[in-house]
Amino acid sequence: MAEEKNIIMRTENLEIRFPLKKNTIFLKRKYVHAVSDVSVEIFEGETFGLVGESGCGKSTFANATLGFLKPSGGKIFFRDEELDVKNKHKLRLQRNDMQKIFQDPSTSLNPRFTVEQTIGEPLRIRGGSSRNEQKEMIADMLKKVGLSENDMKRNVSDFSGGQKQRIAIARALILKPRYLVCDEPVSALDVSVHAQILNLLMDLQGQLGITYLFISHNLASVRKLCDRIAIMYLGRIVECGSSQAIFSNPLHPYTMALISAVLDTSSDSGSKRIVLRGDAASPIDIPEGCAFFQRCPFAKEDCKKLSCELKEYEKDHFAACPFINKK
Amino acid sequence: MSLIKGMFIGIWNFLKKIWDDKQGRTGLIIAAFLALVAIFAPLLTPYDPYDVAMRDDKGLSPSLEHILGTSITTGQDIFSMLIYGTRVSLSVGLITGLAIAFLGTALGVAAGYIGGIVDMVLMRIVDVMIVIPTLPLTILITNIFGKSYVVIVLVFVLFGWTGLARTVRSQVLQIKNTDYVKAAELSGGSKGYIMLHHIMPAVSHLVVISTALTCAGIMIAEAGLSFLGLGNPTAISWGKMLADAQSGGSMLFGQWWTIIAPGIGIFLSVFSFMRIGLAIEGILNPRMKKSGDARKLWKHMNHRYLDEVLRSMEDTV
Repeated sequence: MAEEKNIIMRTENLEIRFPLKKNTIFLKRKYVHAVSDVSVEIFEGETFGLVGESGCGKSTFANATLGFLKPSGGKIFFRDEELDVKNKHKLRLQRNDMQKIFQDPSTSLNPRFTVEQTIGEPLRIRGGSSRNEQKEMIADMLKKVGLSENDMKRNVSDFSGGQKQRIAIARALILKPRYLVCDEPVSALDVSVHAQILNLLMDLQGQLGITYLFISHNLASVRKLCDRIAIMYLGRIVECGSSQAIFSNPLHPYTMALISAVLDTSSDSGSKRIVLRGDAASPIDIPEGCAFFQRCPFAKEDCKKLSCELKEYEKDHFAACPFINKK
Repeated sequence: MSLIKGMFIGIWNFLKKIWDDKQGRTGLIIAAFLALVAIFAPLLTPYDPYDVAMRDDKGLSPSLEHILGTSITTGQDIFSMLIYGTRVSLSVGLITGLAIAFLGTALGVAAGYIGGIVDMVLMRIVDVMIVIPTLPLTILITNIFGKSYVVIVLVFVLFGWTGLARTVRSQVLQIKNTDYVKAAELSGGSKGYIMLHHIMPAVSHLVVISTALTCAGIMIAEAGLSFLGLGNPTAISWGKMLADAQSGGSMLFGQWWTIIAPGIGIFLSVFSFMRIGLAIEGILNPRMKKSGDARKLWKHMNHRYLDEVLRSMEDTV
């Protein structure tokens, strides 16, 4: 990351909350705070990893960057232009360069469609190409994702999970997007095909130079794929930096706990595993101070009150914990 | 033009598929036979079934002259009545079934896809329709507007669309939130595109199956209403034949054929549509095929109306 890079996706203090049903009119309306105060920059051509436990707001964040959700606060910029959910026409133009690979290919592909219909759908919607051109592009794309041209007429539901995900990848790439959200692309698949799909994604990035927003709770695959990583906890980014920096020198206690939980076969460090106690706090009533306070192995009394903001501790390595240097 | 041609080819291919299914073939053969009988009724009947004035020979037993004898109350030829009854049964069943399919789908899709206030209003209407006791209301309506088949069909449609609308709505809601609809949205697909390519195909099998079964259900309901004297008194239907036999006391005189004959008619028509419905179910929803016994499918439909009619028939008999 030495050379200066263009920012493709940027969020400024992004906040997304969902209203809860009110039981009485006198009570204050409560919200689920899915994403709070997230400012992230994603550079063109990189793979940006977003890691966190389930329910911490990773997918919500990703969906917001695709214009599926209206931010409750803050702004999202795609190539320096604000993403406005209400401006349908502009959103449509901006979405021309965005795509998403969904978590579970068995629900993200219409079971009534053939492979050709599925992959060709974005082409048909956009128009501007003839039947034969479309067919060629689909055949070409099928080869790229490792399927055969003969599969075109087969029904999507005939394929296995890994193959379905390949079809989903082909559909996402057919319009040559610049920004691709991979929302846990392998977590619904059999372990034996994880590596295949991840390798495919890496190869395709090498060929096409796409920017990935890679969401995962699997640190091993994130380490393998991502240039930069952000760790999310209860809707906030607690640590953000280059993949190398985070794995070699984790600053936030939550990151440490996550990394210590990864099975490391070349374990020469002899580091002890940090086991977190309890569950994450409720995203409805987020504690005032550090959200991680209750589970933090290094928690002090002050943590309850001190608000934790991201600070730069090394170059391009941010963390949100005031006691980092004192551990 | 090509669209209409394509539609006909589609329907033809679909009929072929039903024909390939064992159940479906039985259904199609019987339905086609009944349809032919209904169309060519005047050619097949030896007597005018409406001819009630001239005859003194009421309640005759079967003979060469009258294959199934004559009716005990008015002396019409029962065989002729039976054949003419096919017309009423099939036409009421088909027209009502199609009307319900159209209305139920349109309102169900509207409620599910548009959502918001449209959904709320439509679903509250459905709720109200469900708590209204249909039979007393039917008696009331037929007394006000006259006992004609137009009124009966309208009443059936009025009370029949709710079940389908609900089922369609829930299916639409399910499809609307799937990832593949989101993917289509992300690729720039408009609401119209998603409706046409993702939602309608997912709903269509429900509609086709339910229409075949609704037709069958309506045929029984129509017979039941006619039996209770709520049908068109000037037309001949199987239900009315049963009512005549009942009021004339056919069973007392041992004339069982006056009851068996319309019974077989009702059975055949309902049976054929059920078979076709089951075959379609098997074609469009292959996973259901194994468990697709009739009783389960009856439960799919809104049988409240039918149940009520059948129950009151039991009470009367």
